[in-house]
Amino acid sequence: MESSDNTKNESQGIEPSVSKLNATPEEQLAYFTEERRKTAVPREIELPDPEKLNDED
Amino acid sequence: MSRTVAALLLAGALIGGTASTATSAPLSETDSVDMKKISSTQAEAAMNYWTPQRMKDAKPADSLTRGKSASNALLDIGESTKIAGRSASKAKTTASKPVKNVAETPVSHIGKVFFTLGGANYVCSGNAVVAANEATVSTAGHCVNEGPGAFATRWVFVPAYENGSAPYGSFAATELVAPTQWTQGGDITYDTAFAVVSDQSGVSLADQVGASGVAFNQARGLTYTAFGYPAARPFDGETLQSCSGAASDDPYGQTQSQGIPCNMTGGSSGGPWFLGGSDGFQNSVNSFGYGGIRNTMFGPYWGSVIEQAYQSAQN
Repeated sequence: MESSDNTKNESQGIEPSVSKLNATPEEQLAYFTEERRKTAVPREIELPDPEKLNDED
Repeated sequence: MSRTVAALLLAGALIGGTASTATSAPLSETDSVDMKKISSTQAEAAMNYWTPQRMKDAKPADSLTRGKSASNALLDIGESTKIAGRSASKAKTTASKPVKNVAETPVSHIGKVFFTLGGANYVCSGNAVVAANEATVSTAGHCVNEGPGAFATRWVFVPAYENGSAPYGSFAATELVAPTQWTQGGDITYDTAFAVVSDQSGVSLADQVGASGVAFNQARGLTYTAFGYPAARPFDGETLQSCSGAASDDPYGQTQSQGIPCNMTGGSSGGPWFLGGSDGFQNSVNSFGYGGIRNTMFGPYWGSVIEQAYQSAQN
């Protein structure tokens, strides 16, 4: 029971993280020129198949 | 009295503490139902227990079945919440199409996200959501923060983008908010974030493009329509795409996220999942895929932790 309660605290009782941006809105908008938008890297996450990881082990 | 009703009444009697024992009835060979025999006294006690208020307060059974998930993570279940969205005078909406990976006409509140993280420029997707500040955009946690690690240093939302056109201009972020489970723990179960953006000459984001309603702590296994701007091959990131289908649990049980049939690629991350079409309640975002599972996009379960991040951003 104790570990379960701890897990609950860890997963549900934490305040979210907040970050204030230092750059002004004008600076940010000026930075992302058409060229930079075109060359921006598509962000993605692909997790490894755990069954494959086990095979490799 | 049907068996289902009888079982419910028995449960009520037991919960109410008015029945101490229940008698098991023998099953016939053809009867596979687990049947209990209830005395008239027990039934009457159960009838008395289920007052209109108790019926109203009763939790949906799906919140009990969720506990059977294969994941080791604690289920993040709270009170079901739905906050209605709003339309913009200029908003253009499209009906959802229950087919996957089709090009959509732009939707005013859905857009591309450009940001700088670790010195590199990236592209994701996002959606304007209803908010007290009229300036909140939902996206994936990994579209604002390394998870775990640093936050983005520049972050810009371009609603209704299409082929280089930005009919509503661009909105730069002033604040980024994400669950600490993502920013410090890198737990992909919580891969959602919210950005607060600046207005345009005094006109708020929501006034310009509208804002989707949001829903938290909903049932699992619902049917979603996901939107995004996939930019990795075979897509080019120039048009809005959608997928739709019923959600299913992570087959590996590694996360609490759910997957839907979808071919969208990198760049669609952070795009909204709606209950219904693009005018429905948002209830997740495009998050990740598995290398070994083709054509499935996973999105985090929007429970209390993500609702807390939303509340922090929108106020």
